[in-house]
Amino acid sequence: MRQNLSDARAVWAFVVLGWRRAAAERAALAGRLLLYMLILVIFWHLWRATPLAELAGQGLGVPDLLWYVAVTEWIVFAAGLPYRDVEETIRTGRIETSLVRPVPYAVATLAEWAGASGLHLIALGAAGTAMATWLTGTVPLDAAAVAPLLLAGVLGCSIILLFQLQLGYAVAWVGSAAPLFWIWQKLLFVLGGLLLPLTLYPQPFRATAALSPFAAILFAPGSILLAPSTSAIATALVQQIVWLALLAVATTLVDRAATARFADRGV
Amino acid sequence: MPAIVVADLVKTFRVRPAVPGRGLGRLRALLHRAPAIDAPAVRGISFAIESGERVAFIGPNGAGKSTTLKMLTGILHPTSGQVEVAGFVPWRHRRQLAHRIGIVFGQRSQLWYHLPVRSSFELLGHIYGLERARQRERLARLARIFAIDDLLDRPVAQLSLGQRLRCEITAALLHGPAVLLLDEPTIGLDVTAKAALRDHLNALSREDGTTVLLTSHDTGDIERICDRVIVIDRGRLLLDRPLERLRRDFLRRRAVVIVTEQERPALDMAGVAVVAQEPYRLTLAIDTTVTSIDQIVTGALARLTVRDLVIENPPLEEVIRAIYRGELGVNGEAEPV
Repeated sequence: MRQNLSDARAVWAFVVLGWRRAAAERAALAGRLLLYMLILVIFWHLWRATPLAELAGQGLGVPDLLWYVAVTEWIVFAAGLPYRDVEETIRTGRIETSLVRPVPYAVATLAEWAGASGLHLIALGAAGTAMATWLTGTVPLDAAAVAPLLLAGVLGCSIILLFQLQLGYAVAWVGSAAPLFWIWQKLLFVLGGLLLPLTLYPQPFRATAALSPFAAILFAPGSILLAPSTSAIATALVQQIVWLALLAVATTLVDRAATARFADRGV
Repeated sequence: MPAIVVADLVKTFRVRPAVPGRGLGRLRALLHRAPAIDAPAVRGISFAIESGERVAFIGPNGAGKSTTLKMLTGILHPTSGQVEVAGFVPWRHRRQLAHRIGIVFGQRSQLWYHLPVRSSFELLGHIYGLERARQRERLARLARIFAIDDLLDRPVAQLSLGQRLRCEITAALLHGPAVLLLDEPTIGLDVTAKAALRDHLNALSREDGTTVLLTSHDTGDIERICDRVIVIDRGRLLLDRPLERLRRDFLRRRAVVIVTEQERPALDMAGVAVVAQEPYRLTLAIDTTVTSIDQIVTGALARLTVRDLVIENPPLEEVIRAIYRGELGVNGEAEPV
């Protein structure tokens, strides 16, 4: 019990470390915010200049699409590209200093990322809401759906972090994790529905995309925004929790395999 | 009770030969790649270190020092053999062992660059589950010993290498480990910083009785900190003995400097070679297997008016170089320098 409490304190210390680190990197945070705002402005003008009459059947207007992009990009920007930290730590051999500590490297890393992403989610969420409200003049969300949307954002971001830890670990087997990351990111953008909701995708592509973990990351929170019914919220959150659990297992296996490889071959 | 026990430790890496050629040739070579081969890094070494001992673990590059050290921490698993550190088998009880050992990799920082030193220590306190009061007390003491009080509120990134290494060692000792493993702790430091760090480390290990295992290419580290030397080369243990005995057993050549009243001193004795003859000063190299130091002193006092006489210790570096070159036998009685 006492050991568990001590472990929880250590993990929390890493969360705080990540938060403080993200807060200290003001230029990076400002750049992130600026790019996020720029994307919203670009898509606002792009959607307005695009003939979207066929969307009327889905009950979607240009403001809805802009808010959808604001949600999906919020999650993507909040997570960032932390896999590069793991890649760098392994490549330089610095992981050895972490491996000799009582807190497992993967747990410490995820906790630190969670802290940083928490700060990003708050800062980007506030900025994105302000910008989208200013551009569209509307807030297409019931007050009751705000909490589920925030939870879905956190879950989506958490799934990204698990994926990215695995991608970072990939450098234990391949020379560079970047090619894998680029493939993963493109799949996330397309199958996750970064720019357009999956409901607008043609069948059977829509069904395939909806079954992927990428949909749980981006489309699930976006769908809460577009159709905040109780069943839609429940479906989205259950989908996210299932994928989060599956990816947590996968991440544990990858962590074990990488650590075993380091133990056998050295870092 | 031994703090570290190593028995028949073996580590063999499986490595694939590099793929030669370019373009299509390289592609062909990749398709018909040579099978992996065994690259032995550590070949059956054994030693035991008692609690509180300060031992230098040395050898030329590629000798297997770091590989052994990593196996002692549990981050590398051996191919075969037994290891116990502070009562734990490192690769089975890595987490428990982490609380009992401290490690400093000279070239790799365990501190967080963007944080002030104090915050790094606080984080380490959480990682090792230290109670606040104990951590405060421990940090106050270590900060005094390593003279880092002024550095605590500075970001790690702003520290000089010497300052950072003092903080690294403090970080490694914060949780009160029984065993301290130091991998090249003074690498890259200037002479003054090295001396200060060695003094601090020496004082601390004597006060706390911490077991120290140190790898270093710098004989100054070994002389100032350790009282026993283990030498390995190509994964094999070459020698394991107290530092003083190492000098005594392996060096037959001693330097003797005699300052005399005579302007042109001379001393002609068997086994004595004149290294330098200056006004009022004679530097001799003595082959102690032919003539003992006692005989030299007696001879010098009988034949010269001696104002001062200095018997210089042989430089450790010379001994170690000779061991690496294979000019010295490992049992002491073989060809000394």
